[in-house]
Amino acid sequence: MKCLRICCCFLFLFGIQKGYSQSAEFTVSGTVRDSATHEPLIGVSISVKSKPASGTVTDEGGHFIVKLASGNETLLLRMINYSTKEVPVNNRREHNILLSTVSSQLGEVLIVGYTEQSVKKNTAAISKLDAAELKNNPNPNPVQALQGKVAGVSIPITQGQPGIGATNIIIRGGTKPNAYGSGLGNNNGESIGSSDGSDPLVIIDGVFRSMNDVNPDDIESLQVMKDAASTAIYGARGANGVIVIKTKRGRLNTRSSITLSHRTTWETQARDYKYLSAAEYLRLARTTVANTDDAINKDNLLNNGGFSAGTRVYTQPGQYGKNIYLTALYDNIVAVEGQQYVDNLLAKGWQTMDDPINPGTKLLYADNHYQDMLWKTGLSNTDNVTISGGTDKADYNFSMGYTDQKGVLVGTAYKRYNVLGNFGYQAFDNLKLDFMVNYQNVIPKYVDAYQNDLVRAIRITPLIRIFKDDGNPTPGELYTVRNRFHTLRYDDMRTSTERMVTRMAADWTIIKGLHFKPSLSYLIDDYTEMFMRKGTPADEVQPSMQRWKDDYTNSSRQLMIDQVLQYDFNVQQDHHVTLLAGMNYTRNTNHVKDMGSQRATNDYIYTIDEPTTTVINGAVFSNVVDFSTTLGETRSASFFGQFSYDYKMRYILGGTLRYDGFSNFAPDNKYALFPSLSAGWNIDKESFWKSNIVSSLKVRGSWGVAGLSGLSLSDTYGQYSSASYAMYAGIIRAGLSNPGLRWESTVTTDLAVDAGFLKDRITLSVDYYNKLTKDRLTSKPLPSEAPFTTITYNNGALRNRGVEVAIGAAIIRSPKFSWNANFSFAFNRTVITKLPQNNRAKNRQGGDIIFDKASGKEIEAGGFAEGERPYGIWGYNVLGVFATNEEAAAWNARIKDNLASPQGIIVGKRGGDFIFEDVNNDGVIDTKDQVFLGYRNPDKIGGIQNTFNYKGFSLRITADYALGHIISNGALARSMGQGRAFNEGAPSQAIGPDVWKAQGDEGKKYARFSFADYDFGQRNYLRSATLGNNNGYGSDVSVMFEKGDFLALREITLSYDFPARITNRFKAAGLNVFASVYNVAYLTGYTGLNPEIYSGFDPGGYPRPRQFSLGANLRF
Amino acid sequence: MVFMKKLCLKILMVFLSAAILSGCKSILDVTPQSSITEQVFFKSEGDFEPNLVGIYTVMRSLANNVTYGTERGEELISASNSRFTVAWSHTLSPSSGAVNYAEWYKGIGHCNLLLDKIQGFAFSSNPDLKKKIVAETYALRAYFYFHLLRIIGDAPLMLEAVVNDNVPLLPRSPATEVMKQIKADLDAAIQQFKGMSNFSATSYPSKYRFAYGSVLAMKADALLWSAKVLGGGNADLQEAVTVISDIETTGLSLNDNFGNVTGIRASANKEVLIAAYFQRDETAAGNYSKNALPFLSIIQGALNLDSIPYAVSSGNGQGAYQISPLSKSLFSNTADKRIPFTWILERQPSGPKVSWITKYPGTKYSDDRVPDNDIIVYRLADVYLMKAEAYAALNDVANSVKYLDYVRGRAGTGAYAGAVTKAAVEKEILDERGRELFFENKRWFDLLRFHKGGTVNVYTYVPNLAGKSTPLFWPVNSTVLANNPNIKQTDGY
Repeated sequence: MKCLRICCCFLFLFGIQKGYSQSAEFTVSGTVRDSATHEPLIGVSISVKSKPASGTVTDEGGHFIVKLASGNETLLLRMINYSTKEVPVNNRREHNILLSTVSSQLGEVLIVGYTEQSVKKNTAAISKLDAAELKNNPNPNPVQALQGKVAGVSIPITQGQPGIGATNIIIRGGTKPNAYGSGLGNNNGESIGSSDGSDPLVIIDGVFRSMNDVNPDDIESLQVMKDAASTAIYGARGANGVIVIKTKRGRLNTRSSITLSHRTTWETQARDYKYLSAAEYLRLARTTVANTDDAINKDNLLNNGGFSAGTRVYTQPGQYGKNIYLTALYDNIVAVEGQQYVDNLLAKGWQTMDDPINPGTKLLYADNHYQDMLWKTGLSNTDNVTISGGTDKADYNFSMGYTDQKGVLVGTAYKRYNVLGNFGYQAFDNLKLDFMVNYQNVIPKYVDAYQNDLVRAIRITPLIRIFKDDGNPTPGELYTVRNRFHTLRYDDMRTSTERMVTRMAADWTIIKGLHFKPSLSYLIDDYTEMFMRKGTPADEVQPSMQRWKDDYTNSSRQLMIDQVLQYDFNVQQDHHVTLLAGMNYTRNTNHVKDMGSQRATNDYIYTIDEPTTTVINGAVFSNVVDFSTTLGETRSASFFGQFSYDYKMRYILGGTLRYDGFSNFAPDNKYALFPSLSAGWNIDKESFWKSNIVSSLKVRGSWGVAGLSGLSLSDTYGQYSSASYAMYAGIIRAGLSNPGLRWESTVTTDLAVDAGFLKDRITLSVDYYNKLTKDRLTSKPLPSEAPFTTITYNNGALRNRGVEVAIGAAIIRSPKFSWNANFSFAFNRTVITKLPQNNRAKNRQGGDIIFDKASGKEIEAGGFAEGERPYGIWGYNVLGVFATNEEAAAWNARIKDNLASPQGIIVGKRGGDFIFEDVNNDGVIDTKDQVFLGYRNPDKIGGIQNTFNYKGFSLRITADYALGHIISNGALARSMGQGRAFNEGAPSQAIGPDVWKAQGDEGKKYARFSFADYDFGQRNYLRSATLGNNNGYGSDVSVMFEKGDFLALREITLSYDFPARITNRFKAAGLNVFASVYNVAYLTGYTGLNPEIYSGFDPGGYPRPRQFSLGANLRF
Repeated sequence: MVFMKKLCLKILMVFLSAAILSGCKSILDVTPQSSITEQVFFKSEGDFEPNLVGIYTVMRSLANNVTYGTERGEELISASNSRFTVAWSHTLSPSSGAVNYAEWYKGIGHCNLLLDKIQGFAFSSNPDLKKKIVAETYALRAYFYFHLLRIIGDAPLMLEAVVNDNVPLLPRSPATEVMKQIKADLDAAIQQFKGMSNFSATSYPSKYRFAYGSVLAMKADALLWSAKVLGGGNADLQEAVTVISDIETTGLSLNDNFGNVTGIRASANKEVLIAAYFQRDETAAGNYSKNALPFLSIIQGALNLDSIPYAVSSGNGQGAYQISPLSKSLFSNTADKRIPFTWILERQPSGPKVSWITKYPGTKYSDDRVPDNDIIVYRLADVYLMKAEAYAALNDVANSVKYLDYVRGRAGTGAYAGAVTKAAVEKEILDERGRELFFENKRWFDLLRFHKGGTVNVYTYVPNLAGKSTPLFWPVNSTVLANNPNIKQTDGY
């Protein structure tokens, strides 16, 4: 703590200020304006070059009057953040002078580590995103706006719930094999089951934090650092790349301006499944069950109400009106409820049908129109107000934003309030102070359980009752396949995140060129989740916990202290040197409190108010469901140095060194060293370079190491956790320790060419990189005789190698009309290069044995192996569909399908079943018959942005693409095989031309539609491969896989800037109106719902919506 | 300017010293507040009893797994749903339904670690506690090995405490070697119990944990296996008889009413030696009878709805198992009092439907029925039938029938009246076990013993095995083989 206190002292600093005086004869007056905005500049100091002590400053209108000894003097204009300018008076009495900001003089400025550099001097792989790209996105999460915009950055957004971000931001393939994620989520609205955290370090105004929930409207610049030259300075956390975001600031000496912006968005479902209507489903379901050879209990299903298309005999009035299944015998309902009741139903839309399997019997049923009730147009509103400006000593930017987004699925929403304040104060000539405060309050309404409540529950059959006769919703089929309206009626989930970030920083110029920049920031992040389930009617299926309440709080805090000493100096004018040294200390703590209760006595109290126990049947039971608190803490400390050198901007050299420590490593392994070196050559600055075509040319290269410390305390020191048995409190070892764990490090080499053609009208940037991640911190499999199947280990190495191309072009550049385009392409290949010795070929971890047709031998495949690209998919190969039972019988005589259900194995194949390939010809279909199908993750990604300007009109069209991944259409498979519960809506394909329907149907693509394919059937569709997705909501059957390649037409925006002569009339400085469509369409061969699936299978769920927006920005 | 330079110098010095100071490693020292690490655990005598308790959770998990003890037998067919694995259809192969025995070795690993760590503690103020802990740990290790032995036959013998990634690559030891270790562990447990200063043979401090009597029961069970499957011969059978005689002196008696066998919780059940503990709040998922209990919507309309133990929520009953016709046929005597506590036939207006299993009916609470019965591991009727089996194998038919009749007496089926030949009595014991212990997760192991003993041929008796040549032990899966090159596949695959 002593160290901390000393650090804090640096925030209180002192400086010295100097004054001016004046006296003269020749009077010169004029106005000073910003060269870019033409805003008048206040407080520009104007002196006489020959007599630096005399002079004046500009007033509020940017005006100045200065008296000179003669009209031959030269004026010297100086202003912070602007380049110094000399203006010869030449006996003119009036001068209108434009000052340009320092950055525009240097060209574009980049933040590199703890310094700022001109693009020209940069030697690292850094992409900067134009703030305009962020402006036009209707989504509250800025991550969405990044998609397709930066070469080599993949943003897998796999679902469309409001406010949701990406699984990971994957820069150059990340450093973990499973960055795109696998499996299916069922918690906190996540669509992905698990993924390796591969997010880059995000630094917003110098603070490490998440990019989610930042108001895109507050962002001034966003840049992505991809190679070690730019990330090594962040050492510990830079291995996955770094994203640096600067929020908007005021400017010294600018008039106050107020900007109001508003956007209204309508979102609709972009792609939808075509489910059968109730009549079609009823006919299909009853005939399918009646005719199948599967060993299902037909009588129970058809005549005892075993599924939604089954009938049952009702005996009491009122029974039908609350039964979950809508199918009934017409005569039976008339007899029990009376003709009047039935006539009423028919008037309300109920229908009748002659029972297709029992002609002469009349069925009564209704279509629930569930899909129409679930999916609605979501209406969103976003408002922002920004006040910014500056005096000669202080600048400020204050903004407030409000977003209220409604999703397309009923009951989903995202609400956010945010406030940002940026204040700068020039305390003394040599001391600048900055203060930033950012508050966010995020209130999402996600569908919490993605698998149960989205994937499963939204495709219940059209014959399941949604509302009972008494108006209350039915539970749907089960609580794990629950009627959405039942959830909305009885469950009340409130989640919210409140975040407050404050940062104080100073920049003290000790002597010319020597800066001391200390800063301190504190982040408060409180997540709360409160839940209440009201009592549900006693005569329906009950939840496992009744009147359940939960109250969960996770309070995180982050303290960051930085101290940087920077020295810029020139040697003999042409040698520019920057030296920097500093330290960072970060402490993260969190405190979780979790309480839950059940069996409340009433629905009136939202909070937990239950006695801790209840007596049931004479025994005492605890009502406490959750009852725990935890404290967590990690710390890191780093020391770093950075130097950069250039000679006349021609030859550039840079280097960094960082020494990083993290508390979760064992004492001897806490610290690691991360170096980097980079060099560049601006060939165009050479005197011999005279090309008119190639207007600028730079080659650059870098090498460096960045680290990753993603490990928990228990990985290093082991863990024992509680395990109760027979009401005794037990403690059991929960994992092996590995005190020998070292830092994971990623060594990156980057070689690049940046070129400009035709006066930089066309720019081209090509990067080649090679990223080797060593000592990967992941689990390593252990022999099954060990007490645990894995141990966290420095588990070998992984390489990402690839090429990135970014092209920018001003295709048309006439005064009236312009067309600018950007195009990016990135190819990345991930390969596991090294694994610990384990006596297996290629030191493979995981995987299985399959038969390789090419070599005619059994081989190992899957898992991770040296030299292989990870996350391939193997599945069962379909050769066709049996046309007849005879054809199937001949196959049955030769081959047994061991992967059918146990009941199905007994029945064997029939006409309409898939013919699976017996790859090794051993007469058995088993896991050895898996064949390679493709990869889960795309390896080619990119985007294209076009901007057309005509007068005040601007049209933007952007698109992005991903190639190289395959997707299993799990949603289709599951509804063709009808899961295990018999109650999933059937797709239109089930009665389409591609499906086998009757004996003799030759050459069909799809096997028969069936019920309980997994439990009782042949597992035609619901078949998991050990090396496939191996998930019940995907299908590892070759027919169900398609290429996922897509081009998404992401955005079309038309905006119009009103000319000044109109805006002047209502005293505004500017007015812009726009209309846009987002997620317009896909160009893809994938026939399922969502081609933006990188986890190998598309279970259905919540695809990204199409969003139509109208909005305006008004500036005063 | 002079002032400035001084200040600058001062700050520089402070900055540098801060940098040096922070070099001190203490800045990164964090004491965990909410986790128990290896650095602090097993540093006190008080840590061992909670650790032992924790190991029982592995025992419970294995006792609750019907794939190995039940599915391959003849007891079950599917009901409204189906939850069988390929063990049920006997389509096991190295690539289908093969075992990864990691869970058994997890339990064994816990035992090895405890036995290793406890050596350094004298328990001088309470030496009996140490003996009790060591005894139970040996018993648990024997339980894990005995369970695994019956599934895969030859098994690797891991007896050392693994604390890092150095895991010895063991081959599979012959089943006889494994059995030797099981017997040694059981004898060590018995010795520890007997060495306690307050030892009492009738003491069952908890019916959910191993005590002297229940260790003897496991030993008897192991001896029968050793005798009939591993060629241990008469010596093992004789010893089994002796061991069971000891058990009979530990103060147990049969429940008069068969319904109380599973109807009374093990803690208060005079017939139970040891059970795996279940309780709705401690084990929310319930026991394996969840798959046997129907849920309301699949039996709606049944004329005898009130007599069927059903759950309202499908979370508490899955409706996937029913008793097979073959098992039902064993209950040829309609006076058998066990029938209502074994199954109930659902009667629908359209006719009879599913025969729902009532052995473990769960508990009906005011909100719902929950499958929370204790899963019995050993009870006195089982032990009596073991003794009958041992006597019969020794050709002491008279004594065998005596013990068989203890069980029949309670069931109300009267004294055994069949042929008094070794073969006939042995067949009757197998059938009696099929009635008495139906759905108690023992059937497949019973069938294996009697198959090896020549009483029955499982390849003709078990319908799903008929016509197949699936080996009787399970294959190990490719993960097991891949991670240890010294492991060989189970014979026959």
